[in-house]
Amino acid sequence: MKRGDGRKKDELRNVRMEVGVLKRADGSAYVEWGNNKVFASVYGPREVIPRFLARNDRAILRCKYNMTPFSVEDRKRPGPDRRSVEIGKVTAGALEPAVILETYPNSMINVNIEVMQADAGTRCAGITAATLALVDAGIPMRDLVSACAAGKANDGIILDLSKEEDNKGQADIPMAIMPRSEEVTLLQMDGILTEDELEEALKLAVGGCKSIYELQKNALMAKYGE
Amino acid sequence: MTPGTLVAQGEYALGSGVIREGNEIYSTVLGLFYYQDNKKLVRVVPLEGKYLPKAGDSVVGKIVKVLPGKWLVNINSAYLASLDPRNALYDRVDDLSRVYNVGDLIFAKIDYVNEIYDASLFTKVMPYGKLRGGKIYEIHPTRVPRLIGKKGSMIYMIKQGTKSKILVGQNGLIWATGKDKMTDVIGKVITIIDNEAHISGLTDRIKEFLEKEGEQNS
Repeated sequence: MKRGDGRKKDELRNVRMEVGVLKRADGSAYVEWGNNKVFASVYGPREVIPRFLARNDRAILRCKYNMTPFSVEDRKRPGPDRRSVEIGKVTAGALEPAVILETYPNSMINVNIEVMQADAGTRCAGITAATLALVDAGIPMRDLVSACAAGKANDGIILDLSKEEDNKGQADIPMAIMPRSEEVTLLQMDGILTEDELEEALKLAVGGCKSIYELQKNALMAKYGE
Repeated sequence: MTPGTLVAQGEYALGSGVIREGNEIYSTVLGLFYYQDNKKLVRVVPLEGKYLPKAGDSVVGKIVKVLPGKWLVNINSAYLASLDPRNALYDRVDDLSRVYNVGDLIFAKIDYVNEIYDASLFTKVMPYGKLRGGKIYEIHPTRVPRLIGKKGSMIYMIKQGTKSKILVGQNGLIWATGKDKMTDVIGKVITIIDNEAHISGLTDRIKEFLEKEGEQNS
């Protein structure tokens, strides 16, 4: 089977990561994933606002996902909408199992994901970038979180769908795992797949996450030139 | 070491920056691995992160609120510290804001920290107390040991080289006062240490830098 951009079925787009790009944030990262361009910044641990959300045995993790108006072909109306609120929520859910929140009781960690350019798979790029930003902020983590999507287009199961494959395809499964234990922290799907196809797609996605994991480790090491 | 890297297997004592899962010990932070042979202690010293208050540390802080019975102090951490008048003054004072007001900078010792990092401060004796004039510099709290050096060698060298008075807070805030030109030099030195703390030969580079700057300004 041939794909629109000439990739193999289990091949990722070009991914470039950089850590510590924003000066004023406690931690930050930039991920270029194909034509996706995503910034993630982490502020905290800091005082909890509003106060009633504070938990006296652990920190709380709040994620915000935002798409800039110029990130898509038709101008996106600025501000939060149904979709970005949802992605913010699932991102927090994907990162929470990895972050050791008990280290900072009574505090708050803010993760902001800013999509500069969107081209299918922004939530995976966002989670990948957010993980790097958390590590850059010095927040203790059990493991990195790596995310990647798999899906079905033109009747074939493929890894890391591009914009065209996503829009015209039959199914899309974004997935995030903690690669060391292979624990799944995010799994969503839209579209229709048979059981066997799902099985195959998940296998592909895990493989994709693992290659992302290696890239993440390299990006973190690169900051200190090792 | 990145988070999630396997650092050791078997019976070891855990220091900071590591977590045990069954028989395996994994790193939890981005940092450098250390192993202490006599105690069988493994730890990962972080390269990033916010300051966590620890009893006995000296810190530079800023008064953010004056309450009827205490001051609240921002010590560049996730948590505010409190300063009780009993730990700051010898006499009773009715209006605390006449001693330290909002915005004042103080140099204080951390007296006590509880489990949820509420720190109480102490400023009763010299050199602790209000900081007048001078300039504030910031450095990663994790780089403070490099700024001070072995037995204070590095900070002594900087003080000598710039003929200034410097107070280093363990929380990553540094207060310095001296001639205008010299405070600029201190800022540059701190930036160098902040960026290159993990590269060896730091002392020599700082020494060279200070000598060069000293020649230019004399």
